[in-house]
Amino acid sequence: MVVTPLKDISDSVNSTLSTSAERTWKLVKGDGTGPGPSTQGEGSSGDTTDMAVPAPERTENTLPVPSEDVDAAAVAVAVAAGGSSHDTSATTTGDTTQEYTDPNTNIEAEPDDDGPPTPRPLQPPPQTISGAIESGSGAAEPIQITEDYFTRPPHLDLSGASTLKGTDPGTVGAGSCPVTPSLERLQSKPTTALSLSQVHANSGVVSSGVSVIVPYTESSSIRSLVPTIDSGDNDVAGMLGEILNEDNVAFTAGFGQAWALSKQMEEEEEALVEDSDEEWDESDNEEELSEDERIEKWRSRKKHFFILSSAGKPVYSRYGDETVVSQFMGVIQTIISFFQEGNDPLKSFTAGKHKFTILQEGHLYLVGVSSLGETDSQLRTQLDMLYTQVLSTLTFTTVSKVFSERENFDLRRLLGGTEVFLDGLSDAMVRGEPNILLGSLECVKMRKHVREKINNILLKCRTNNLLYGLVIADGRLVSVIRPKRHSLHPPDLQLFISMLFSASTFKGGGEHWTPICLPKFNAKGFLHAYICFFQPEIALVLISPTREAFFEMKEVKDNIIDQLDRAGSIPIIEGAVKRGRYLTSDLIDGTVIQHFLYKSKSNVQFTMPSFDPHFSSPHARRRLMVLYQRLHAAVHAKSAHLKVHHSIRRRSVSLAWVTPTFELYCVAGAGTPRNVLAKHANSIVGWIKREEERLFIVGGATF
Amino acid sequence: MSSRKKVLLKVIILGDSGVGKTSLMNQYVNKKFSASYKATIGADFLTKEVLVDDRLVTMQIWDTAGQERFQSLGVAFYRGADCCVLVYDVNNQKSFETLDSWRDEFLIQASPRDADSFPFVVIGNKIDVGDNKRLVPQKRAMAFCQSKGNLPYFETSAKEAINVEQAFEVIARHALAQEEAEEYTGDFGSSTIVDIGADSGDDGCAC
Repeated sequence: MVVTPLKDISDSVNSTLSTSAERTWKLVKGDGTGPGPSTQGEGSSGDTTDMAVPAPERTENTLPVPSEDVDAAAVAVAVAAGGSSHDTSATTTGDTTQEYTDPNTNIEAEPDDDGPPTPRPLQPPPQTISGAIESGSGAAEPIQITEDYFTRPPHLDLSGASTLKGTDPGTVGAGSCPVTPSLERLQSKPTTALSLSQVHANSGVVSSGVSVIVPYTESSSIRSLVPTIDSGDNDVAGMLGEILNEDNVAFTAGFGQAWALSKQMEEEEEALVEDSDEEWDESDNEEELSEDERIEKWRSRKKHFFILSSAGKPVYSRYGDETVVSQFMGVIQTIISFFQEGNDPLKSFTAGKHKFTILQEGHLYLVGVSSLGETDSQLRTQLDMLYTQVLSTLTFTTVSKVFSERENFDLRRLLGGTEVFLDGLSDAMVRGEPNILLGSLECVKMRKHVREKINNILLKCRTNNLLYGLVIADGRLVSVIRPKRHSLHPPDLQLFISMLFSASTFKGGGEHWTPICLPKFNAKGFLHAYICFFQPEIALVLISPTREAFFEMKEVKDNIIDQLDRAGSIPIIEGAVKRGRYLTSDLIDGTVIQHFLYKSKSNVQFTMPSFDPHFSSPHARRRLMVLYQRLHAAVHAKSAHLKVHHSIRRRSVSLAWVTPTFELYCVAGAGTPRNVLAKHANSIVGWIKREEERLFIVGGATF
Repeated sequence: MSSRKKVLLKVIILGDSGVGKTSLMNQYVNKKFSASYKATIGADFLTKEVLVDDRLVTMQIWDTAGQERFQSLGVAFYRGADCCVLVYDVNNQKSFETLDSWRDEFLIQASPRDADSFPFVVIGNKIDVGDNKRLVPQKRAMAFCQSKGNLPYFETSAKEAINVEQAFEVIARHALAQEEAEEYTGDFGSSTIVDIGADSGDDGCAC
């Protein structure tokens, strides 16, 4: 298909055009098959180089279990014998990460750890796995071993792979399931072919796992040689059999190369977030640009979000005018449609630096295109937020009705005017927002009795037509009241908060009464929200199921404000907003920790310190958010039974720590010894436990 | 209604290989013609903004490959179209004879709600080649269009830009009419009120 004016992002797509250059495609089907770094090979040699190059991307240090995100997953599986397929994040490619993994690692086991080990609740008793790969190097050089079981180093590779039953894909690729030759189930077969006559031409390609690399030739167009996996329940023993039998020496051989590569990748990755501000510019002053410049700018975006109908009609795009977008939507629709037969929808693919993730919701296709290294599931969460936003404007009922009646419906008609909210969400997701990453809400820190007082005022003033009452300040929760039998779902609230604070629609005083669907609460119908910013940045929201309740809610609001005023609560909230978030140095004097995110799983809330002083600039903040995103990916890989992930990079040392009750991600300056970082992380957890009822809304007020 | 966003119309061009579908589209959108033949692979997309009776509309033109081997794309391409353009080569008997099967194929794959009123436009292309080589008489083509429910018919030359603009104007008009055939009435409200008593979601947050 020809997309004449588009390049780059649509490069993938363009490759089907009559260009005679051969290109390599990598289509990734199935959830969570993380693609390796670049997939675009040049010429026919791309078949093998693609696999070979990204392999030695990780270097390991020498801890008892020198493993790293992906490897850690493998180890965890080995011990727990659970889990099936690997959703490896593939995001930390290029890190020189060293990390502690899984319950079995002792965080104090660092060889050069001077001083007595501090007691920490970080780990269960150490337990060695396969006797640890020997480190044997000076303390100055912590990087020892290259291990990445999932991306084969070049020298290991194809001989084994070629014994696979399916000669096409079937081996192990970056972030995909390891496959043993015995796994006949994983045999692949062409599922879709644009030009059947050409399918066999390239079937000799031996490539990795579920990721398939198909060299493009003019006559071949888009094809998929994606293997069909009958059952997600892979033979774990079989997988591990292969992994564990690999000769470790083979892995270490590629060490030098790996180190150079990983360093280079880290640099590239940093370049990602360090590009000029213009590239991150979220504004749309494109009028003065020429057509070509506009397209150039459109292409250069780090991240795109698209919503289209199943007919290929555009519904929403963050960037680009209609001309650019509508052609692109046609192409996207076509690609998605190729894979629809056989109930095996396309979920993601990678083209060049960009990862395309697709979420299909009935007649709506949501597509995220990102070069920022998110995992599939992270992008999918973001797409789900956008979908939720569409539903909150229209309800599921309306969306399915219009499309079931007319597939050619132009949904923009009904969305008209609410794009600002989608823009607000998109921008937040391009910037990187902890609340979306963690799927949780943030509260304003305040004394327990102050919050209780506000709760009680809300409870006292409520009427029968009130469903939920909320006080929200600066995008953070102050108080929530709800009926006992109805909970409030974090995505609904996130959406609501985003609507209130990202657009100017509701800000600036005045009263608003708007129908709104809270999709996780009930996607089928509207509730009605009374919204009033009674102070700049402080909103009172009263949600009622009754359409006619405006005056009633207005009265409730008058009462609430009156009583809050008398109780002196308003200045307290204002003060809390003005003070902003706490500083890490408030918690621990002279702490090495520059920033952290702490998610309380039971409360579905998180807390974090101010971005000042270390991450005040937008650049620093973006870099921090990318780092968090990677840490998050590492500990959330599908079968990463990973508890602690330690990552050392040029600019920072960071730690992700997951327990059944909380997740902690913290970042310290470069060169921080990990025992110090761990100690301070423990102190933070202790502090949060002590302050829990101030930092979080625990239980909440119900009626 | 003038504040409403401009409408996007999906237009599909169908016809045998080599009848000039891509050339027609290129002539219309880019005002260009290339004599060299380059088969379309899969599908091409072009977009053009046009005014139809003071309404600004965007035409999203889906140009398909005529070769048999791309037929499997069917449903994906045809779904949700607002108008279908059937193109044949007036100098090629067979390309005219297959028009009917292209039309049937479209109706089966796209299954528009009202097949009888779905807008098709028929174009006989390559009239520049010359009368002596012409194999499909205008009369025969008109009779075909008549029999299929009075389909609009145009004879064009993508090469010499004859009648292309006019044909697409009619295409846009019919597509717009189709798109607006059933206005969404927007019965928000009564049917979409939430009964909070019946619903109980408690898998969410505890706050």
